[in-house]
Amino acid sequence: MGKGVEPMDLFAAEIQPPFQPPSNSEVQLVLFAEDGVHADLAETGEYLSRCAHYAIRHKLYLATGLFLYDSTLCLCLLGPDGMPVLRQGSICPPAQGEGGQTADRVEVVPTRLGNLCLCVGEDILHPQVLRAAALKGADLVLAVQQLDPAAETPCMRLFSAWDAAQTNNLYVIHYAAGKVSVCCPAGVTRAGDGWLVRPTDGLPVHFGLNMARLDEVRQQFQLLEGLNPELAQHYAMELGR
Amino acid sequence: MNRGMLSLLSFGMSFRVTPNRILSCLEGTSAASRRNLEFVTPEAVRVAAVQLEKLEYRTIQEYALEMLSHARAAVEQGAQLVVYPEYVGLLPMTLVPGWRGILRWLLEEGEAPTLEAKIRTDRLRMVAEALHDFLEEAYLDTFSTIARLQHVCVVAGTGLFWEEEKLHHRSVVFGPDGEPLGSQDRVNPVGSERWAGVASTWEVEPVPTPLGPLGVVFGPDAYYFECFQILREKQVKLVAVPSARAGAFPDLLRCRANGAGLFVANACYSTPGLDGRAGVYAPVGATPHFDGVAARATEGGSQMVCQRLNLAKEDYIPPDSVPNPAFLAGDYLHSYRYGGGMPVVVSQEFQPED
Repeated sequence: MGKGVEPMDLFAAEIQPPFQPPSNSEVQLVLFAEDGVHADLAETGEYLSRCAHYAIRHKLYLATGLFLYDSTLCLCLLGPDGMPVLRQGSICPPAQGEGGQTADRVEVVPTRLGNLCLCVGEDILHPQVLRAAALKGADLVLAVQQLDPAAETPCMRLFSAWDAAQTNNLYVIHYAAGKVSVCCPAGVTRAGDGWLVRPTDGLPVHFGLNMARLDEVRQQFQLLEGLNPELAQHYAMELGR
Repeated sequence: MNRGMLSLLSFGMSFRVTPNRILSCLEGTSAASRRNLEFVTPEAVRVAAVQLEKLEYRTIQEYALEMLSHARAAVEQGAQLVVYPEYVGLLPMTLVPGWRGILRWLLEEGEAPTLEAKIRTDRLRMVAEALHDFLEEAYLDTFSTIARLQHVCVVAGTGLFWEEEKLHHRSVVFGPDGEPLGSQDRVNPVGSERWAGVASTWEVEPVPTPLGPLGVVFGPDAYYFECFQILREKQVKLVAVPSARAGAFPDLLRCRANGAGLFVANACYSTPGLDGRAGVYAPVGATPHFDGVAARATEGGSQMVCQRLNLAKEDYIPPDSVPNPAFLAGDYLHSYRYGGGMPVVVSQEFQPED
């Protein structure tokens, strides 16, 4: 964990419309629910500056909306001191090649809330991205996907965020097409269905993330520990090399 | 329980479970009149997934006839492939006198008998050495004979094999002549199997069948999308998933079917504590309600789900985006062994001199 701070077993998180204050001072993590992309460089700078002030004022971690930086679709996580903790570029560009630059690494950052990771745009649709993040120790993924509500299919969130949570034993907060959902390993939820927050457009959304419970479930069902690394070695061609 | 007692049980089971008993009871029934594999076309493949309710048996005949009844019902509905649940080859263990006591004895103190329970490996080794012969015989003879009598391909759930001082969890696929067509071992042991030291394989290969290449991914291996991706790359369209898990597991299979563009036949149990529903899953475009479910048992209890599939139709719609090749070859594949790409050290001290 960063800077010798004790990790938090349980904390409150919220998904808010941009710059709306958190519902109470206990909230440790906020994700801005934004559908657009900040593309203009000057406007993006101003936006990020306002985000930093928001994080400082409310003393919390803040995941920004999508923005373009150096032709790369990005997300940024700001710490309670307003400093960027993590900036992640999109790894999966559109097949038609209309996108700009892409990142070639997925980053995981240790914080007092756990090991956090950002998932940008369509990266959530590709299981390789969050598998790599999970193998690097990610506990919580904040995913923002730019999606036209008309293009949304009923199973889209099941096949992306929910699947990633089950496949990698981690929390996934997913925002796309005006709706938010929070998924986790099925064993973490009382109903055993893996939905902490089912897809909803009723913002703000307030929820608690229980890292201690996540660890318990991981101890019982050691998915990543059981993964056979030789499989990837022998089938590197099939898996993408 | 001790080694002597286990030897005695093994001796007793060698009389109670014999190939002759299995053959005579199965061959005593009428063979299937239908030969569903005589004409095979990928446009109309019929697969059946078995949902088992009964876990305890008093005689090997009862076990064999129960397994046969599902294959027979499936063949009557035109099935060309029948999939049985995971651990179906371990059910004859319930024929052993005092099997519950043996199970309790195998578990670490305070552990409940679940799929995640910690197992004492020293005791497991003794039990495996004593009883593996009869369990293997019961498993292989039962399903080989069923496949032969019903003229159908059978994915015989899974069984445990004691080979070279290690426990192997394996699914065997039988052809319509009763001969094994191939097998698949556990790839990623988790839960009890991890504690029990079950051997893992790195091989995920299609089994050649009259229906075309067939993938077999059983139990928690389905949590690993890699297995399905590898099979997809190897031109597999149909994957059999014997499982013993319920809850969120069917939804996970919907994700796998849609994510890799595969048809998935899932056999399971419907008993208290393992209340699953057998089903056949497909890419959303190939399902009537665009939900990834081609067919699913609506009720609990012993039954079988049979569904016709068009394996030739490409209903897989991949995402518009593709992962950066540099990420796949570098950071992603390195993650499996090193938890990420190799660190790049840039230091003037190490710059080569001209």
